[in-house]
Amino acid sequence: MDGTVDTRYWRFCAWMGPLFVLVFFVCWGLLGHNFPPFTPDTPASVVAAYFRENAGSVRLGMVVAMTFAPAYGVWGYSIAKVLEQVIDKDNILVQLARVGAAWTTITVLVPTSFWLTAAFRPEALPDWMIQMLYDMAWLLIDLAYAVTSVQLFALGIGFLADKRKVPLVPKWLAWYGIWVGFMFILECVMPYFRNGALARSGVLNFWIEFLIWMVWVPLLTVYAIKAIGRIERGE
Amino acid sequence: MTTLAANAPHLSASPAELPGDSGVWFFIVADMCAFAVFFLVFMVGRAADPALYEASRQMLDLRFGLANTLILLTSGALMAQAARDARRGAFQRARQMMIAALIAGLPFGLSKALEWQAKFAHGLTLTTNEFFTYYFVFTGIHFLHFAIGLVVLIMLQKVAVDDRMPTATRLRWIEAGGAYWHMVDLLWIVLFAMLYLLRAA
Amino acid sequence: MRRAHAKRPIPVALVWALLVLASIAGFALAEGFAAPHVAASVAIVLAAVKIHLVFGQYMELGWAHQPLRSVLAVWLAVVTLILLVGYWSA
Repeated sequence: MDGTVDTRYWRFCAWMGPLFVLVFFVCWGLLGHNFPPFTPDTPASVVAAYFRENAGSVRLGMVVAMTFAPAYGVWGYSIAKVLEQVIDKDNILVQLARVGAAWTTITVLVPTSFWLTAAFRPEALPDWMIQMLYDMAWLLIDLAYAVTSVQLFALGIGFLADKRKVPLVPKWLAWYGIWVGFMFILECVMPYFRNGALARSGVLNFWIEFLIWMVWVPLLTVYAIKAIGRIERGE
Repeated sequence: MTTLAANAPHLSASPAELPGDSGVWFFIVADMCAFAVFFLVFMVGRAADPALYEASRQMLDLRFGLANTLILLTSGALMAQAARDARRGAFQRARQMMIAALIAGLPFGLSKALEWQAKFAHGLTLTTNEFFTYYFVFTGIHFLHFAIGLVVLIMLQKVAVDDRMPTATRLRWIEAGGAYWHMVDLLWIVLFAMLYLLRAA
Repeated sequence: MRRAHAKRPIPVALVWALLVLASIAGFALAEGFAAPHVAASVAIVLAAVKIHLVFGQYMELGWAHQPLRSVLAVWLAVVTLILLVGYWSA
């Protein structure tokens, strides 16, 4: 706000967000058979057979996904730097936006290690154990939604406070983030269902929940990159 | 009608004007689209198993559905009046109307609690069948919107008479909060028709 | 008709009365005062009319901001179709 903001590395860090989404989609999603996931009522033998037959590609997928998990946190920190140009850096919303991103990294990293465990020696594990690891990973990654909601709400409320004539992040996008954080609440009922729209593979709790979040990241990145240019010009 | 329009030019915003706040409107439209997906999921499920849905529907008490509708429509009317008062510059009266809207809306919470309690007492829960899954999830999420709406109304009645705020800003927030509150009405209108009123042959 | 009340605010009390009447009518039909298919279809149409009134009058869009009005009109058309087609295809 004194006109000389050090924005070095901000852009690089901001691009980590879309990169994370892309890598996560390909490695965790496609290679790991998580996009879409096995429906919870899939027989254990089917899940186990997939892990045994594709252990190599699942391992590769999870290793790369784990390597890139921190990219989400790095991205979140760069967005929080942009937020500091909207509200005071001592404002708790900035800290919450950061910590929400950092926590999200953990909630991606830990369940990914469960899928990796299932693929580590699947030939030696009973079917039910592979199914359990698969379930456990999904229960964690979905039910950790509230951690990401902290980031979504903090960024949304923070960016709405922008007094610029043209805000750094448009109001609609701030509200979109708040809405995504709010929508995540549907995950609360996910553990009650083994099929249907509300199951982990269902239209509501998988397709909508994951897509609205995965769209939010690149959208916010586009505006953050523009915002960095404006911050450098002293706007 | 002509007389009314002539007498109320202050009520007419220009065609380009958006009542309330564009960001809040974005949230409202996004939320309404999410509910449209809920409605689609429900109707697809219903088409696949109409007998189950009809048998389950008959376990609902239509009187609760109607009471909830009337409560929300009444509260919505008071909120609509508040926004019109605010547009005329009568912020004190707008505040009174919003407090009335809040009081008129509260019984919705009570009615919902009684209705859910009766369902639980009959052993009907989230996992009873697909109909009751959607019934509890959709009305539960709708209830969450209602609860947030109450908080919004409590904040708005303060905003209405906050002299530190420019009147244009106060009007914008009253209209934005009002639009949200009306979304709660209108989503219930669909839920009422869809869950309670679709009698199968 | 649509243009007529799209342009002008109707007194809130009158809007409320119309909404209440439509709600009670839908309820009475569902309670068995008409053949099921008629009752359900009318209930859906009544809901659409009520929502049109809420958009236009409660939300104050009837006389302002064409783009948003169009978006909400599309939403209403889609939702009404979902209910009608869903009901009749069962």
